[in-house]
Amino acid sequence: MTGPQDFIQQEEDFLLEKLVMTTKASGLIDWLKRWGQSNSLWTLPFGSSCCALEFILLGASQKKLDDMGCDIVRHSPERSDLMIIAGTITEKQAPILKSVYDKMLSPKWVLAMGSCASSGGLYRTYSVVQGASREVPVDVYIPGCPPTSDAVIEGLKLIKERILKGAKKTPVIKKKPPLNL
Amino acid sequence: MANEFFQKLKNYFGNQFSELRPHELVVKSSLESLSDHLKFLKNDCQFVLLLDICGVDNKERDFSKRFEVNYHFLNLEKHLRIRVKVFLDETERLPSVVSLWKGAEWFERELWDMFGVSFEDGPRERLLNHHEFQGHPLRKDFDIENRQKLSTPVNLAPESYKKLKGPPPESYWLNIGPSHPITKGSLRIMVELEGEKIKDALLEVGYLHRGFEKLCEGLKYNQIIPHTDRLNYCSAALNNIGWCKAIEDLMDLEIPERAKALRMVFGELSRVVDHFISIGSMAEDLGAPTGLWFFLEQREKICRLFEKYCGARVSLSLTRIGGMSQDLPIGWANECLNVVKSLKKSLEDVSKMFSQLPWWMDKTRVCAITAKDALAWGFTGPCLRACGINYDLRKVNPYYFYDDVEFEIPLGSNGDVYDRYLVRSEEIKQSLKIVTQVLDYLPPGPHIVEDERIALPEKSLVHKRGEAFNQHNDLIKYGVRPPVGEIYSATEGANGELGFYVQSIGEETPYRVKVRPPCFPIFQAYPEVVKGSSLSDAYATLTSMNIIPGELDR
Repeated sequence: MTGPQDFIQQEEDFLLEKLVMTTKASGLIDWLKRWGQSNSLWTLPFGSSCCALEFILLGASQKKLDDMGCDIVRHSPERSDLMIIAGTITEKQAPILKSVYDKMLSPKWVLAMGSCASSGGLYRTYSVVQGASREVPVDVYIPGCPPTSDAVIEGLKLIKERILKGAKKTPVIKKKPPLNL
Repeated sequence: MANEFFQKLKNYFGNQFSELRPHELVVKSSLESLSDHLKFLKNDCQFVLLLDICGVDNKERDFSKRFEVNYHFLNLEKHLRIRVKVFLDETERLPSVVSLWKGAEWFERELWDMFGVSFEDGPRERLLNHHEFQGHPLRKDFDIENRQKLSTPVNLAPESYKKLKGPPPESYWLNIGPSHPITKGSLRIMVELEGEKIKDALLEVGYLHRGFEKLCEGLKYNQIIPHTDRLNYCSAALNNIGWCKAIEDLMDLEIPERAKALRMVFGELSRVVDHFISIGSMAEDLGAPTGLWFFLEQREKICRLFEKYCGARVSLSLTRIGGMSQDLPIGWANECLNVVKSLKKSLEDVSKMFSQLPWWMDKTRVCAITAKDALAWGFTGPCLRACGINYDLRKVNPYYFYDDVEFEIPLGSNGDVYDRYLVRSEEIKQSLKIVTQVLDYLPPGPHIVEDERIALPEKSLVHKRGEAFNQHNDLIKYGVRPPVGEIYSATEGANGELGFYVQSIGEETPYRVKVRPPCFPIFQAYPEVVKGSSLSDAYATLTSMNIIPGELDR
């Protein structure tokens, strides 16, 4: 068991640095809040295709998600902080993705896993949304079709870093109207 | 016998009947006589299984009528496939065949959705595209980038239920999916529950419709291989093999013996992986997640083998037209044999544990389907064999070296979840047996056909010889060009008969590609199968049928 005493001992230098850097107590508390959030990410996998399968495998047989602090996979949006979009988002699926995102309580983060969720990937067709960022704000993109387990872990690390730094969200890309030539 | 049968068909159809290839017959029918012809084929010639209904838009060719509809039927006894061709205009209406084959319903809805072919008995709903979609995507004049937003998702519950006021009624509707842990992808099921019991179920598909068929019309034959990976993403190699075999059959190309053997090895390993995922997720959904973890760990061993061969774990793309992408790395065969050995050992433990566990049997002796119904819906593969029908393409029409290896076809008798589980777990053992036999007698020789029009020359030669350089350039630029013609080629996929129907007009891209996904007819029967059972049985049924959305929606 680690109490606050141990924690302060472990992170003493870092905390000291923070204390020096901040002029108000609220700054430190804010940093502590972000630190807590980044270390207990509850994930919601929004899986639709091949990447969903790879995400299950990642947790089941390859890597320890516990180390990242996001081993708790919740299938209910109200209870999760991080949505992992794994797979192709079609036009038919898009309103559902949006409603699931809206149900999540803020603060919330989104990870686009695989090239389909990032940009539409191989499928530049009439039925596929060209990237999940057209529907919901995405924080981190993971390339690959499907991405390797190392890439997903790297993505999770990146998102933790972003949370710790308090990075701002990327806005939703508005779809441009088609050109009439 | 076969001659008599052919004579009967010839007498009835006259000169409209022809034999395109062995086991592939073609009949040209007309709109007026279509119903009679199909009735004759079903009742007198035992073409009991509807494989596929495929539309073609002939706008870019000078045909007198715009649309062409191809019906594919299978005679299980004689192992014959027949294609009935009908031509019709935009204004003409097609007679429905749902009364003859139950499984035709979704195929007809797809035909309306994709081509706008209308039917005599009223309009159809869209199947793969959403209900606000305008236009018909597979028509040649439809722009591939014409994306249309959906404002409100469809509510599947009946109108009377939505307007209900006051105290809740005895039965209620429960929505499952499209993003739900049970679906392993995006399927949507709506069940009407009365207590625990399912009274009715409704399905909606198309949440993973990615436009594979439209995309193929703009791609070269070799470029389509990576796209076939993502059809059934659990067993990518089997899709690769199915696609390449279709094109090779169209070109009358004989691939080297080593390529055939390698395709068998990778195909069977893929089948094992697919069955692992199916059984594993079945165990998880029934409340034994350790089963899933066990099977995924076993799967990991095979994935590592794939990674060693082609660098990918899931989307393999390991075949090329004319053979394989590369030869085996040194030491691969030995490693594979070791893996097979360890898999056999661990599988014995698990099958002992599951197959005779009373709890497992209690939970899985549910949701049976009779052989007659299964045929009417168009079941193939393990789900059909679980009903007791011995039909496996590897035995009936042995392609590659399947007639030289020893293996058995496991059969069920009740057609319930337990039998589907048993058939799959037994098939894993048989597949591993095939892998061992093939690797023991792996034929030497090239891994791809040595033909400059089909296969790329060796890379070391490309920079040295001008001839090889030109060949390389030409093949990359123009690709493989099969002759003018059409083919329906089928292989035994992990879920059943995986068919590719290809029309070529002698250009570098195909004119029309249609996949016959094995899941499609199977999922259609789902509401009928789960009626009267409980919700947890419905979950078990869904995973035992192994519905893969990528393949279902294409």
